[in-house]
Amino acid sequence: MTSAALSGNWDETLIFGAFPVKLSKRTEPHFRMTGNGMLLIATRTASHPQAQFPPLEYVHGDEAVEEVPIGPFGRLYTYTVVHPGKDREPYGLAMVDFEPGVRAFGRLICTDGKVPAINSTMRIVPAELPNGSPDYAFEAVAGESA
Amino acid sequence: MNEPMIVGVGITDFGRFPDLTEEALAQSAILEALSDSGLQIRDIEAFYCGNAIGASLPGQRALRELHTGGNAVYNIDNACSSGATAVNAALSALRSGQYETVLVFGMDQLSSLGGGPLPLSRNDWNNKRGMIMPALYAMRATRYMHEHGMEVSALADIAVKNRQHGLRNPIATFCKATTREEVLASRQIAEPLTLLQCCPAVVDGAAAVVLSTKPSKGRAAPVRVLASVVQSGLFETGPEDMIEAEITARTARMAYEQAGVGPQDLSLIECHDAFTISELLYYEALGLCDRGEAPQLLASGATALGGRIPVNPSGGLIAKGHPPGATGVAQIVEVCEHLQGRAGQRQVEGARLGLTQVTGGGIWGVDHAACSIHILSL
Repeated sequence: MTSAALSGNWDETLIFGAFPVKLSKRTEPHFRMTGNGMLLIATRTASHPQAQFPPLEYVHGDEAVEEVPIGPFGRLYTYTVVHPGKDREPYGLAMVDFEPGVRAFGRLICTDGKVPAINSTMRIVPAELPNGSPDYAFEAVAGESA
Repeated sequence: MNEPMIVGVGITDFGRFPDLTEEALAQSAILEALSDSGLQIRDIEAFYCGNAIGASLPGQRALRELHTGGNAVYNIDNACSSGATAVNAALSALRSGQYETVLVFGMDQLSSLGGGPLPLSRNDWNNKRGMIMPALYAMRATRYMHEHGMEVSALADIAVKNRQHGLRNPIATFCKATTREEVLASRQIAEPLTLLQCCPAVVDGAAAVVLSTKPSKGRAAPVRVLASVVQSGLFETGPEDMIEAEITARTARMAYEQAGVGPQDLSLIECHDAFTISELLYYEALGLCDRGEAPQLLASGATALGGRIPVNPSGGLIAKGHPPGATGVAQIVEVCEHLQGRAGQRQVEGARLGLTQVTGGGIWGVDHAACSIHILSL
């Protein structure tokens, strides 16, 4: 593989090496807005049939990748509120379980400083990464705070 | 082929030494271990260095001014499990007959980082979204409290116990006595974990052991390594049980089988108490008690010095601090000193069999990426 092959966008398929193995980078977004709310996009393959989130980023060979939308509602497995120190606001983090058997990690929205109870029903909501990129977070549906 | 034995140990103070380098700390531990073993540096055929935070070629940097003669240096980074993984690799080389005498050291200097949690990969999916190590363990604690009805005071009691142990350990220079109330009132880091429930963030240190298949010339009785097991985490994307500590339970089962012993045979344990909840989870994963019973085991006093199975008599990471490259080797040094009857005021009386356990993590999908367990005896 040359350095030129690695530069720029990786939305093409590369074939390289003495015994060529096709390597593709998926560029599909990891979330989707629908009329029912925000969904996360997990993936699975025939060789690894359990859906995973975050979705596969790189695919070797010609194996088909199936997108598995999860959400918009899940169940809160656990959470914490991080206190990063002076001059920085606390923020929540959560592990949320979705059908079909996928656990997703993300920011937890704590409305009015209230944290949800374990096993609360959570919804996926739009959010931003610290660099401003569009992303997702989790928020308890009304009435599920601890 | 003779059995590889630990024939010398060395350890520096663990504390804040911003004017020192990790190389200087490592040199002190190495020279102490050599002195303890009765060997010279020219007797060492290969060096194994555990280092997690430093720059490249850490072993060579530490050794260059000790004039080693150019023998092989193996640098091993397995996060917090680096030092113990280095011991495992060294034992494999000795058992294969590749070498007869090697030295393993671990080192890290966190003062240079200026504080805060251990740095993790910025490209990691979870870390980009705010994950830090205290938060991961805080989430385990939250879940454990939900499933087993544990009070937060049990977490605080781990911090109190280990600092009481650390007060007896002269290398734990950072350690101060504390009370349950002080632990709970200290600054929140990641709820429910407060500052005094986390190992100190800015601590420097190094530790070293000499291993040999030759007859020992050391000051103290040589120590046998009955088990040395390193495992890696499973890729998990489903609704896994985050309070099971699966990798530690799996590694412990293999280590007990390798050693031909069980948890009931142990005299002491040094485990990876980076956060208070960790030690409770490891009581269960190491087979000291059943699931959900760790708080009761702690409350019984069994895991305190003088109890049935003292855990972290050194004070553990909470009292000593956690320079990650050094921790796995430091745990082995601690157990050796107990087995050899030279652990001073924290001596576990009649210690015959000790276990060390250290994990390494910080990447998504593999909750604990590494775990190393050693079982030692005379």
